[in-house]
Amino acid sequence: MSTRWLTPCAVGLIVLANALALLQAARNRWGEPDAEIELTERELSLVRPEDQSGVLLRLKWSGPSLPRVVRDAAADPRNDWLDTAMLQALGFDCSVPPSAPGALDHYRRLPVRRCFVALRLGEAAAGADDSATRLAAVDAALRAPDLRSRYPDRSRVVILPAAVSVRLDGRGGRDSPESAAEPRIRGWISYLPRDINVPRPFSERLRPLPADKPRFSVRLRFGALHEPWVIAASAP
Amino acid sequence: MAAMGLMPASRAEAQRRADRLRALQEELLRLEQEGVFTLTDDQKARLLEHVRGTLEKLAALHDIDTSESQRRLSWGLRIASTLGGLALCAAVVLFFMRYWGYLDTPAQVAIVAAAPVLAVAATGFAARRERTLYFAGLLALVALGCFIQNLVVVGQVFNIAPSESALLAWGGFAILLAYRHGLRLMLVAGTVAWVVWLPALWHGWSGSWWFDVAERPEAIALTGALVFGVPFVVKHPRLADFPPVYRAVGMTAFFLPVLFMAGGAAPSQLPLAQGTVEALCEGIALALSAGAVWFGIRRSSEFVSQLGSAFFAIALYMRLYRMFWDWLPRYLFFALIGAVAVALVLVLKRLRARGQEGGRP
Repeated sequence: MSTRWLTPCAVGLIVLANALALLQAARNRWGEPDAEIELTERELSLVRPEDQSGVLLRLKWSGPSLPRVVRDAAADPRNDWLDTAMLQALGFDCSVPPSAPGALDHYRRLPVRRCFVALRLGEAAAGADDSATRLAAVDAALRAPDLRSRYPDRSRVVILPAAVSVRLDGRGGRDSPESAAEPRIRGWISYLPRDINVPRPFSERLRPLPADKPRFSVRLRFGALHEPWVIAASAP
Repeated sequence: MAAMGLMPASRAEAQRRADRLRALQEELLRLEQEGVFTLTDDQKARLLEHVRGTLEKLAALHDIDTSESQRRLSWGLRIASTLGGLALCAAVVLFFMRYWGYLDTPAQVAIVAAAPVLAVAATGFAARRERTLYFAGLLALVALGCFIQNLVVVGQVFNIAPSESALLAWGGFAILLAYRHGLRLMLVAGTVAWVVWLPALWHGWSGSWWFDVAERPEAIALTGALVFGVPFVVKHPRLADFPPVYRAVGMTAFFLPVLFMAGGAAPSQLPLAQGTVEALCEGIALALSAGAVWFGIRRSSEFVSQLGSAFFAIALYMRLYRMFWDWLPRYLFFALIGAVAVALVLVLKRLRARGQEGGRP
């Protein structure tokens, strides 16, 4: 059997994959944006890798992120929102008490959950320096419209797709099942899209900025699929 | 030359026939030298003529290796072609990243979408010009690299959330090129992409993020079993060297997650206690790897039996570690491992001897 027809199929696959990606970008940008927000160098790092000409912005936010951050930030009441009740609302099975036998195995095998997280532009954490981010994760839900109804301010709150993980704090591994701390279920945000491409002509304004403490502001728009794009950028 | 018989349809089959013919010719001449029998001059001339003619015909049809030195060079060519393809991929990606920031968005998208199309065309051109497919293989790798870069860049330009569907597209693309030109490396790339894509899809459907697919080792193992079974369903008369690729990828994708689960390194989603899962996976790994050895021997698939033996040995040592590491002195534990290795050698030698007896007329 001839296999000549497979070459047009391979080319067709390239065309189809590109068309679908462009269609998704168009769907995101079509109609009323979900949010439009102005951020500065406090909330965005300017990324200009060596040997690359592209310019990226990396989102800086505070909240329950990596496990060590969860522990360090345990004293900050602003991180308490990702508690057991919230984790259950996100679909985690938190029915096993943290001190029950087998709890470690149970929480260890819970897979991460896909959800949406609200990031609110507010004040920096108490005691933080002037350069600290003012963007904080404040809430999560399985559906983005639920979050938007709770945070209707589209110029201060953005909603992003995220992944939340759960862990059992205060319990050791298999060899040391007990530790001094009271066992506690902790949730943390294990994934949040963070890199934002800066297209021309905005990249031309940001590229020449100094590597050390660049000052700039960027206006971002978030579309129907909660994917951002740059609509303005300025540097003093 | 009617005695040459039907010519093989695939290059792999042609190579095997050429190897058999060369071995037959060498052995017949050697037996004659040892006085086992005597060939008349006419018989010897006809034999040499037949072998030479058939090899020439096979070489003309499939560009196969007709001598040992050619075979050794072919391996070098294959390795150079693969490394060259990978290096060219890196060059294309780095070149684009060096300059893409100076381009407008439409130009960026047009260039990255056109690159894999051009590479596909170049692969087809090279395959028509050269039957050994070294350049076609190299260019197919570049085409796959360009297509990966294409979707990554389009995703980056529009800040699209990463999706497992890209794996489906990359895997499909590699498999299409593999079947079009008979490229094994492309088949490996394509099946590996799909082995990750299927569990990722399931993971996504169940409310998780697809890129945490390692949290579903059972799904990866099941997909591996499916890939192993492909040659039972899809026959490859023209591409005789494709079934071993499916079996190798399938076995690796099956046994690695099962062994990780057996060692407690991968969290299982089975509603069982951790200890039960580990014991179950250990048992499965031991039984199925032994089954793979048996299957390899029955089907004369050397590669399957070798891979099965390797996984069986790993599973066996894991079992021994669990049973004895904590309470045996270390020197005794390693003495036990050595004893088991000796026992394995004895068992395999017996199997080999039985095979020799079976081979006697």
